[in-house]
Amino acid sequence: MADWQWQLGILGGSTTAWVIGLALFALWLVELRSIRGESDRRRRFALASLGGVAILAVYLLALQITLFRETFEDVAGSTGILIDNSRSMTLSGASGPRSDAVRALINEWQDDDRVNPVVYLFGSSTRGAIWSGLGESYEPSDDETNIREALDYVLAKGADQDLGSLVVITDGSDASFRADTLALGSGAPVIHTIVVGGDDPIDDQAIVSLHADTTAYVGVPAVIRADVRAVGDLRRHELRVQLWHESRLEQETIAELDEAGRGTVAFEMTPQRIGRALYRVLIPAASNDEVPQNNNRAALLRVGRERLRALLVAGRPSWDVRFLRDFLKRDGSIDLVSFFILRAAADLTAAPTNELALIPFPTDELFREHLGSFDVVIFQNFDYAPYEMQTYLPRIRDYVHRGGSFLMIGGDRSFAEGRYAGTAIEEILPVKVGAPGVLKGSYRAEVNKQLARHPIVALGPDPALTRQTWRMLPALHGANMVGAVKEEAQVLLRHPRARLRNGAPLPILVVSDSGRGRVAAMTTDASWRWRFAADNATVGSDEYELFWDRMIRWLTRDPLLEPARISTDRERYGVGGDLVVSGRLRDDSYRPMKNARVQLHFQPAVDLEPVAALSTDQDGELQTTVRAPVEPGAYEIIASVDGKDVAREVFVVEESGDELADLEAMPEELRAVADRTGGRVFLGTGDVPSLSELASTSRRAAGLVSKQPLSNPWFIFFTVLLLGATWVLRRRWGRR
Amino acid sequence: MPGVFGVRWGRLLLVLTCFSVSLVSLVSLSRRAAAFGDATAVEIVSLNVGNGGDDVRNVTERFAWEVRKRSSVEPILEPGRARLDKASLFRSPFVYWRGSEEFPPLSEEAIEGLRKYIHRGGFILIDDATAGAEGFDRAVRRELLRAFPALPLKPISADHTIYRSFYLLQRPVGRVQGPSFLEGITYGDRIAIVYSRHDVGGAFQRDRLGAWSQAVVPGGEAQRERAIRLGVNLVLYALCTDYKDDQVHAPFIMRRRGSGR
Repeated sequence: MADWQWQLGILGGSTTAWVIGLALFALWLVELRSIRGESDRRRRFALASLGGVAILAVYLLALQITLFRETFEDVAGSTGILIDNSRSMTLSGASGPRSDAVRALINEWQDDDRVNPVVYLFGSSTRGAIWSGLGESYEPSDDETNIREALDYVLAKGADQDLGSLVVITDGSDASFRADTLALGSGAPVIHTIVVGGDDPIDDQAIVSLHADTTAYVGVPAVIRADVRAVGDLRRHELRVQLWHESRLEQETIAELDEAGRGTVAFEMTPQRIGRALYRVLIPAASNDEVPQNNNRAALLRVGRERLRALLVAGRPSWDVRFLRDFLKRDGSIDLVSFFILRAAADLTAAPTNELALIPFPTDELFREHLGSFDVVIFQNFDYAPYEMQTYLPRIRDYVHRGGSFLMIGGDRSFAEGRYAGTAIEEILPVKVGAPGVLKGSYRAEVNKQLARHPIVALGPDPALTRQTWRMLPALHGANMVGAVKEEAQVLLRHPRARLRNGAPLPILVVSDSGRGRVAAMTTDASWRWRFAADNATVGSDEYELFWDRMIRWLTRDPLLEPARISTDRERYGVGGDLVVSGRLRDDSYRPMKNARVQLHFQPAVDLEPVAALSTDQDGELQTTVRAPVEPGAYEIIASVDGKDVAREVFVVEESGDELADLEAMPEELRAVADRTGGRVFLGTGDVPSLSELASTSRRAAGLVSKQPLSNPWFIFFTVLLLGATWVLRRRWGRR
Repeated sequence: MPGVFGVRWGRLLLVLTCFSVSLVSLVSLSRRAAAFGDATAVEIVSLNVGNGGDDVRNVTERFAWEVRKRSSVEPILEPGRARLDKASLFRSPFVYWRGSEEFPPLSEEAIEGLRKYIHRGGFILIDDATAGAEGFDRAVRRELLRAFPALPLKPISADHTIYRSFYLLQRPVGRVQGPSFLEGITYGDRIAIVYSRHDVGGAFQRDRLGAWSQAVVPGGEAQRERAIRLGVNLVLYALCTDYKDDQVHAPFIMRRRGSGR
């Protein structure tokens, strides 16, 4: 009866049942009231109980109760085999490689031609395989084991194939697998599990996983945590863990393990240099460690400065200087060093030096000793000549060529007014300085339509809104005249009317690369007017901050503002693992590279040929999967278009990878799966019977069976009899 | 007579020459400040709250002149005027508000203008020309409380950047010695409104012939010099805010502070 379910046949369902039930109950109460005057207690009891039973019988008849249940039939089912194809199957125990045991089992089963199974391989993905010749072609190489995903896939497929039994062959090295999360319905096939190596546990010490921030900062302590584990005989051994940086042993510690043989160690270190730093966490391999590959894992840290260092040099205090300095000081990500010329040689302070808060302009310290420590140098309305800086200008040029950035902001001491024509500064500026000259009057800078997506001027979500925002910004006043825009430079903002001598519009903001660095020239000193907008202006203040924030970040090559970016799905891979590369490519004008032919290659190169060649889509986006290099180490994957490298990303290849990191089999979970489906569990391949013995029938739904137990003549007769008896007795005992 | 004519023509030539030299110097001095136009130059705008028009203009002109002569800042030498309830308030982030009499409550538009001005980065120097009377002081405190109820006027400590933004100063003085402190309203990380009860502007004032208009008490000309230095420091503070708090300045300033001053 446990499989039976019931339902009401009465029109209106449970609502009608309740109404009728309450009405009949009320009728019974009326009947009880009518026999209240009966003095004989036995008669009163007999009438009350007989009436109640009769009313209940009528109620049950009215409800039309129906019982039903689903039925199944057993039919001969097909047999499926799900084989682990991950790299851990290549490991060897005392009885040899696990993959050899699997091949031997397959060959043995293939001798029995009574069963023709459906075969799947699982690892990074689950896919079908051809049974014929599988013994020879089986070469496990996947970099991941996911038993749950594989079973879900096969069970979903099996429903269409009348799968009667499924044989899972695996080493069980999937620490995340839990049998109780598996959805096994009544139609699920019988699942047998063969735990390869289950009779031959591995002796192993391993680094299961590493946890480290991918970004670290010079001089700021960073932490690398390593989850370690020991199994087999090595669980009783001391587990020493070392941290190596390049070829130098930095730290060593002894891990404390819990009862399950697991533990965590943490190493704190302080990076000293900017760039990429490869740290290795290593467990010295014991002589009986059967998987020494997982004793060595790597973490790649991108070491930068915690804060950008900016040098702001101003020829004299002004509102433009004040608002820009305030903005840079407020930005917590910028370490600002600023120098303002507060007194020129001709100024009459009327006070001796010791009554002045002025300090000498430390040109030598700034431009000889510490220039390389700055990420960006800003000359704001600054003329170099009065401070004997001629010898430092070539140093600034070289600093930019090495990867620094430089910004010149206009004013009556900038560009030609500052006598920069013919200097090393003119060599790096994106404009030719030309002859002195300034332009007066107010104007609204126009954004270059072709470059409206450039992050510095993209104040709106799309080019149209960007141009509209620029039209609404408070007006600028005045600009430096320049000679011409250099060929490779990009004019982002220009004067709406004024022209250069060559007829081109007067540039207001020009940017370009210079060597490995970046430069910008802003020919006005009035951008502060956007921040200090007029009373009725609604646009300007936020835009001022966005503009300068993007300016600094673009100059200093913030990765988020680069036109082309690619990324990998993980940071660490096992040798030859699947590496998913995705990205979005835009050209120098920040327009999507539609349908561009892209080549991907590794650095250091593993082959002369690119590892992949593909096309971007309409949005300039790309995604593909490539094989990681087979030599462990730190690599870059580089995307190039027409022979030019446009984007790159770093990753690490480890000998073990995640797949070989945690090799503890989970036989109890596999046993639980078998128990739930009536299957069998085998530890090792030695006692596994023939495949035909593991074949099974499959259950198939055969429809519904229903009945109405109370809708029969006997129950109707019984009800009428009760009603009649009640009526007769009431008449005989003087009731109506 | 020819001799007389000769002398007269000679004197006239001398006067004309001097005038021309002065004019050329004045033009060259103002050329750089106005190179990009007045709209972006430093301008010490006087606030028109209905009293003391010409008097205030004289102060801001002298103020600008002293700042230009002593520092690299090149303010406009003929600054304009502004009203709190007009867009003209936003012509410059520096406003000088001088008064000597109690004034009626400001309009709501003026209060709103004051708030916006400070929020967007403006700086106001309020100068009590009475240096002790209560009318202007009472009205100023009342209106500032209306505009910034959560930001009360507080004494500015003697180690604040204002006292070392250009000159090293020990305490504020103006035409009168006044209290030993300035008061201010701090907005964010800067002092946005400074209130002086020392009549700083009074120490700047000159008559048309260039003589000082008002005597400075009790310290005489030495005190006037210190008052002018305070005025210069206030302009430099408005332009540089806490620049002199940067670490690089600290050892120099500490050494000089400790060298007998």
